[in-house]
Amino acid sequence: MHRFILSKLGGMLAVLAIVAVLVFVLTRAASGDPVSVLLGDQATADDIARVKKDYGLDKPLPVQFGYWLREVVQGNLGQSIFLQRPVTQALWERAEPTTLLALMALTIAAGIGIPCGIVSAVYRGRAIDQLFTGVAMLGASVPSFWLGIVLMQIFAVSLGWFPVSGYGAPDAPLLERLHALMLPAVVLGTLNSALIIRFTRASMLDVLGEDYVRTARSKGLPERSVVLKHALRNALVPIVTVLGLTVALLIGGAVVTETVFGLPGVGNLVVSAVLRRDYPVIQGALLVIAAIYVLINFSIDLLYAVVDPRVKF
Amino acid sequence: MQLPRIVRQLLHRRIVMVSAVVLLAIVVLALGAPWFASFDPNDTAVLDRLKSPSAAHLMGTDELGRDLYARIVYGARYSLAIAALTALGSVVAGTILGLVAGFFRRLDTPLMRVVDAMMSFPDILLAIALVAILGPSLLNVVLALVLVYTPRVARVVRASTLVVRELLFVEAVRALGVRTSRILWRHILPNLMSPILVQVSFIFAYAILAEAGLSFLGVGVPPEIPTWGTMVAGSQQYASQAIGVVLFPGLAIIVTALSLQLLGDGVRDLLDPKLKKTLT
Amino acid sequence: MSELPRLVVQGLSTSFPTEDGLVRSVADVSFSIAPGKTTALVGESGSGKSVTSLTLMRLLPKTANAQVSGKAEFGTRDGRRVDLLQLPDDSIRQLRGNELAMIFQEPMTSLNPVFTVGEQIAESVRLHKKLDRTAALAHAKRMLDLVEIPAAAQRLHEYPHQLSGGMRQRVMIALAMACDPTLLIADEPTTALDVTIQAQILVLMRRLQAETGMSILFITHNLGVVAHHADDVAVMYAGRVVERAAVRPLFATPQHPYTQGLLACLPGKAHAAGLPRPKRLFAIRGQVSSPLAPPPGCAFEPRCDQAVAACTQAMPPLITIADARQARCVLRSAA
Repeated sequence: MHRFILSKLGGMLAVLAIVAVLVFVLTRAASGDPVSVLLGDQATADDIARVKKDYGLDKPLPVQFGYWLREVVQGNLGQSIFLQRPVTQALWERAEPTTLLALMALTIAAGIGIPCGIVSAVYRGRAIDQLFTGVAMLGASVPSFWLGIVLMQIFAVSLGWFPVSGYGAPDAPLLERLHALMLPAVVLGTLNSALIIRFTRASMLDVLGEDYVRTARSKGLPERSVVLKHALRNALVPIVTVLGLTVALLIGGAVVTETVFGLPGVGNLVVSAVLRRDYPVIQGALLVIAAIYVLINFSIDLLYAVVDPRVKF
Repeated sequence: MQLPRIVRQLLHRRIVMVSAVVLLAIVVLALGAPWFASFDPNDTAVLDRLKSPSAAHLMGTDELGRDLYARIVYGARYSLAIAALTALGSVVAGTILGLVAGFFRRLDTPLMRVVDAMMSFPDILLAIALVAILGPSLLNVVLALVLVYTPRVARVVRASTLVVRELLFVEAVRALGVRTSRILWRHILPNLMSPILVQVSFIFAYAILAEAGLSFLGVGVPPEIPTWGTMVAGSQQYASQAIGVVLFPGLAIIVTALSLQLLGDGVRDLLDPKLKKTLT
Repeated sequence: MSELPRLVVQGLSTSFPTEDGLVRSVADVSFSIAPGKTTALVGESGSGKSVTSLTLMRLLPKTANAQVSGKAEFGTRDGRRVDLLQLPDDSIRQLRGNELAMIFQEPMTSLNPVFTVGEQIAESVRLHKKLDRTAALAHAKRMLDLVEIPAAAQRLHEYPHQLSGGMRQRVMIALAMACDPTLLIADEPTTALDVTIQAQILVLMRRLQAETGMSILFITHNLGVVAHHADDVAVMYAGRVVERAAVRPLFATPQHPYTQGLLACLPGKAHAAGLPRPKRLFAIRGQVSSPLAPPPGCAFEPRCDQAVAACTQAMPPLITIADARQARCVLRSAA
């Protein structure tokens, strides 16, 4: 068990290292000069020259990467050019709407996806399966911005059930914020349930075809127990995997949805940063988001140990 | 002459056939746009702006009075071209990467760690970042998307390569002293054709959606180029006056992406059990 | 002695619609099993013996859309005679794992990997005997002792992957025996095990049968096992029963050319009969025909050295040629 954790940890660190390299290289390629990026465009030529020497920017690239990494690990992601504040702070301020949106969307996606996937697998080939599978296909083909705009037109503009855009005042109660997130969460959640339906269905079908399910039936167990107790427990691993994948999709989807609904989240921040060439923000956001995703996957890997006793012993 | 079994089976599956026909129709429409659209997509007619669908304008007009149907048909050329190039590029690059990783054991772990790292970025974000670096142009969008989807293809190809590599005939061929490159090209690659084909279809669909998303955000193709995504981006503020400006480009995307995925799924269902049978 | 048989199967047929046509896996199969006795269902791969057992237990996958006909009369513990094929779903479920138990060929994959061995046995007990958790686990431990698993109390809390193949099969047997079945269907229970373990399992099953008086339907392709462990035999070929007899008469004087061929394949047989050892191993020529393109008459005719013109005319019926002996061959005449 410990060996398992250590090996997964090692893998995670390796991936994080490569992620850092990629982000470093990407930003260098874009902006050319990481120091000016860190210092912002207020810095004078002297400042830059001094810092360049201090940071050894005459040194080879890998050394520069080392210096940059050292800063990052200490929490210094640089200064935003346009927002006049540390990137870390900018990200932190924007974290709440995005996180809440992602959580709500994940709940909706899993809440629709897993039961529909199970039903689809149990009634394989029948009308309900074809319906769910078809709907899942459809969900994977709809652009989120389109659904967002259309739903916004219907429910916010025409019916007025939800605010058209925005997130509520900074001191607004939580319920009001959640209400504002309802429509974007529904958009993201329903579209991303598609993948969960497909994975759950596939995983359940695999398991339902296993010998031990036949054994369970031969014991005379009611079908519901066979499916929900014996089969589902074994189907969990791929399902948990796809939930992790969904988180990544949600973060990506949040970018678009926040733009459509005017939410002050991280996604919106990244888009405006790209449009304004605010490289510190782009770099910082990429790093943080990728790191979060890697951590989530690592947690999922650990979760396998809990779910599957073959890993534990 | 008896049709090959696969074609016969494909014909039996109505949904797959319908998707294929729909896709063909879209491609034909796009290629033959001048014959299928009665208006020039760039003709503005401010007096006719934001009209609902009618006999003259099948899908209505946009905020500058341009015929939506014509814009969608012409826009198909760009959207489809970008997606097709993306699918082609990522499949070629991903196949090479996956083959190498799957076949040469020592290269497997480092290559797959890089793939993992690249897949740690949500697709859209990575695409946005890459376009930001490369600069907004049609070709750069393709390049960015290729970089985004290559890891995905590489993973699938690597997995299949691992399976094929373990087959006895590969050992036998190696024992006969055949050169590695020949093994890869003549023996392993043909067995990967079915998963690769399936990936082409799916990447095509993802690329259509991704390009639309990027263009909608304004970080994709320059707005002068009329792809379905830029159409929505440009007209979205008029959605409350004429939902058509957003509705129809979106429907075009949905129909195309859906047909591609149904086709890919159908082909995979067909080839997969065969793949399993030949491999086990 | 004139006790009714535990199971009487009459005219059982199972067919599957496939893309390439209707596959008749089992056609017109009839046999019976006396209480306390073992009937062996013998045949090579594809002869339909496994499908027969799954049909009787009603365990065929729903997606297979199987078409089943015939009758399977089973004598329940409380004296009723029911047709297994006609019972409603919840009735058959009450019998399954209870009076009617089954063990499968692959012990490695037949146990659920995420539950302990004890939990899986206890589940059956709680369902059918309505015991609470503690009592059920205690019963499970007794079952593990019954199948001679050492350190049963400890094994109770272990997971299937921690046990060897032979042990897992013992657990499967314990699982099947947990609710005192009157009929045990054993589908090639030892095929996947080492030879030494095979012998142990077979002896165990024989002992359990003697102690509990249960009947066993033993499905196998191994004639050696049949000779030592079965009381009655039904030989299957291409989905049909081609010969039925008690075990000794079958081995002494096989009536159907297929059975004769099977026995001739055993290298020791000729020697045991006092004949000189054959120089070459015998094998039945040819292969089983595809179920989608069966021969016009007798299914075995293409491979049969004793075939005559009449063999291609029609499928011979299964006729009684002597006391408790049946054969499906035109060369044999009714008693």
